[in-house]
Amino acid sequence: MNGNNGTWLLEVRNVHRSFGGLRAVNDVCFHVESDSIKAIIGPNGAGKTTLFNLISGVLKLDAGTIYLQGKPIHNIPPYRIARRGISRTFQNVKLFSTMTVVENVMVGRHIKSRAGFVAGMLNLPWTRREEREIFDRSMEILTVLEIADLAKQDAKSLPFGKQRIVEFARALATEPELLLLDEPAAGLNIYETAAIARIITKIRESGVTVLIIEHDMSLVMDISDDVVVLSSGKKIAEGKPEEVQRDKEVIRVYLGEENA
Amino acid sequence: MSIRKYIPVITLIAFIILFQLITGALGKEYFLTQLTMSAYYSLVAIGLCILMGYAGQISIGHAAFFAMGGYTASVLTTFNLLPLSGSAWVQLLMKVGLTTIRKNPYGMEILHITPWISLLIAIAITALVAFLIGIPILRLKGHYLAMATLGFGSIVYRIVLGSGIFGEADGISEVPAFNILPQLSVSGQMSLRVENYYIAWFVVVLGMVLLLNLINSRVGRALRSIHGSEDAANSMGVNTARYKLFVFVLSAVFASVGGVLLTHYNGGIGPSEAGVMKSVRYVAIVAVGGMANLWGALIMGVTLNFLSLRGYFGSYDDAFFGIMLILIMLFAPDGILRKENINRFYQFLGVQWKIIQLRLQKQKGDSA
Repeated sequence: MNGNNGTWLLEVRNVHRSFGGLRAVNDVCFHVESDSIKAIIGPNGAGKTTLFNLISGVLKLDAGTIYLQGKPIHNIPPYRIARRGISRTFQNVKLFSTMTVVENVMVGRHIKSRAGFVAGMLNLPWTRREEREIFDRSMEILTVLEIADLAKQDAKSLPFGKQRIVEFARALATEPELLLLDEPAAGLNIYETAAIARIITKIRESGVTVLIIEHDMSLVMDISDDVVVLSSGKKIAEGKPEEVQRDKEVIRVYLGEENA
Repeated sequence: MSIRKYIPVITLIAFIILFQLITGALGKEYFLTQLTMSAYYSLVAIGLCILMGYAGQISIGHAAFFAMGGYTASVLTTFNLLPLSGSAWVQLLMKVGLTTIRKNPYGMEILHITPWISLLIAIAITALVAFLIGIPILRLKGHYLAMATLGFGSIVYRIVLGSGIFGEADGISEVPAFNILPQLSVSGQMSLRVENYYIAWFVVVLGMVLLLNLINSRVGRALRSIHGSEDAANSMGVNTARYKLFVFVLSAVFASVGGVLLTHYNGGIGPSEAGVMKSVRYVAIVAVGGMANLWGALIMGVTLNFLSLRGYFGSYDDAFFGIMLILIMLFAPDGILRKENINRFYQFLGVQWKIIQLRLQKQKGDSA
């Protein structure tokens, strides 16, 4: 159902979503190839986060379809989407504030483990072994992202830039096929942004496909293989970063008529 | 398996034994009665703590589950099946060993369901009701959920208050002792006071161990993640709706077990056990102890219930818990038994000790 050679990890087809009279996402089509980094850009209110929410199951589609590796995933609840292989971060970092850094990441291992209520209460031997594995695996991820030293700290006490990285770690713990990053560089300075860029590239190299919403143009140009531009809910351009940068419609939408 | 993490439980057991010995030595054995009752009430508190503190869901109707347990046990163990002993299904129950015969206080013979079976039935009924109620209302948040639980509690209260089978305003009395094992029974008899004290606290310790294990497990983490951010939890694959429901049912079961055992201990139950004042009391206890502090809920559950049962709050009993809840919400919404507060308390003690030491030194210096 990919309609082509099957390297499309994600396919978004004719997706519509409205809120009341406002068309937040209007007939959007695009696809993401495996092992690539694709950026979704566009002015505020273009419908980017709504699109993420549609893909990750937080919102239901009004019309259209979304496929992951050829299988439909639209209108599936978020916790099931995670099990299908899509994980995400949030625009305003939704860490579990009452827990430590490593515990946050351990929640990411939830779908890769199975101890339930009874096993948990009885603390069976296999449960303890599984807990050990969950902890070790989480520490591995923190180490790769170079924040293992923060493991036992309360998540809410970290500086914002570090919190973002913890959210990455948590999302990666689910071993996703596709990682959705919602404005990962928002609120970061240039050094932190550069660090994030490095991390995202590392993530792609480990075999995870990345779809980013971003406003930071330097980040987008730097690391993306492809770019989709949304404006007022519609796709207005798609292609390589350099092409999109020169697209007249894109320039007009960002900078106004005179600059086109 | 490190012994370190069992220290709190071992300390608890030590305190339990210590209290019993002390009250015996001081000739104040009657304290044991209130400590036993407090233990059963604390079962409700620790179950509610998991729901409120860890899963972050409020319930101001939890007394209803306690009452469901107690009333079910009461009805099943006092309903005389003897007149019906001719019918086939009663014969079947007797054959399978689900019934027992005893003499009630008036010397009359009664055939009724055994307490063990009635306990299981009580748990099953409570779990089922909690499950069915939970499905719709746990979709609600914040004060909407609170109101729904309040409504549910009111319904149960009115049912037990108004139904003949539940004894209306008088409740049910003459509930027999619960023979757990041949030599061990939950009963209000004076001679069995010490025994019952240990039975009650054994159940509480067991409950604590199970819940402490749960908190530190994958499920416990999932619950805390729901409390932290339900959206993020969902996106990480946690089926938040299902977990909230299971925790709700678990906390209801804890409450109903407390209800069953206390009813056998007291020999009866009344509609006030289902009332909103009791529900508020449980919430107040969990709040004061620190919402997400299981030990806090236990300590406060025992302490406050003990004081209440000993009559220290006089006729202002219910008002006390209400006022306490308001004060806690205003000044210490995370409870008072929190780590930071305890550390601050130790620091305070440390500073006082230093001051005393310096004063003593100065005195020595002056007189030298």
